[in-house]
Amino acid sequence: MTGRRLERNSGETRKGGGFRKTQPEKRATEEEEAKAFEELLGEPLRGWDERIEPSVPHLLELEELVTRHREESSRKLWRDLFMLWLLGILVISGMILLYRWNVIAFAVLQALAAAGAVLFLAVSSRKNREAKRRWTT
Amino acid sequence: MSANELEASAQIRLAVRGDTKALASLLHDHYALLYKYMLKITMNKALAEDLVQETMLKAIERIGTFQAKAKFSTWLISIATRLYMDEMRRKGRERKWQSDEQALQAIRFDAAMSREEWPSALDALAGLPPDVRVPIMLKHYYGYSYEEIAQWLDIPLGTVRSRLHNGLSRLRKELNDDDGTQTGTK
Repeated sequence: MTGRRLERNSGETRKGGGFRKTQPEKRATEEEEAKAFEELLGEPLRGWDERIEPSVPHLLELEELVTRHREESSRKLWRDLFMLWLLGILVISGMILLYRWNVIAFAVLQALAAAGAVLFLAVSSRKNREAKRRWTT
Repeated sequence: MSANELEASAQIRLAVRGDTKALASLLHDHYALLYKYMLKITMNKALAEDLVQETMLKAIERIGTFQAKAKFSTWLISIATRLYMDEMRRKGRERKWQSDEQALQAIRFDAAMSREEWPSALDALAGLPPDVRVPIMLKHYYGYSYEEIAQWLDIPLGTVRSRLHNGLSRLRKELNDDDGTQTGTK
């Protein structure tokens, strides 16, 4: 059996040519890393953790926060819904008027709106990908 | 299940159903844990406080979606981690080093005022980039699984493993170098 075939059959290698770790190896690495963390940072972190004294808000303040935030969220939701309906009515009315006035102008506007939407999606997805790549590499 | 656990799960059920007092009580009980977690991963008191507040607001908005598959503290930590990573993404990797250093200086100052030691290991941890520091803390200090960390940070499992490995190697090297320098100067 050739080396390459052996690799393929055992499933122990990956594209880059390096050996993929088996479960016990992974576990051993994990334990080794946990031990290294404990030696390097375990004691200092625990010590610091014990010394941190957060000023916890009073229960009544938190109750007020929950109530207030719920009210605000609900108000915002209704406002957004109202704006959406208003905008929808305006857009649909405008479109109907335009359609009655000139069908070609209506079609051109539809095509422009579709092109704008595609462009917007492409740019925002590229921005997201860029941000993600910068962060993950 | 102990009496405390029963009480906590009853409180969670009430909170999910919309009970204000139950939710406030849960947030109160978990505030210290959340703040300590945020301070350790951000190494910045002001940012930690802001993010704790944001996490609380997000928890109030989303409590209806909490399914109790994990602990309430795990849920809060997952929200806080996502908010922190979003914040870092917004600011980009080229963050103002000076403001980070000033924030760390403030923590060191607090420790000095309380006549407490500030170990060099914590300086080394603060020196790591957030995308390495967070998985190290989540895995080795808080004991979360690779899968959970990968999900919260929105990165592949292999990336979590490599960040943990590289981060720990960097810490080891830095702390050994520090020891070497200190021995050398002696």
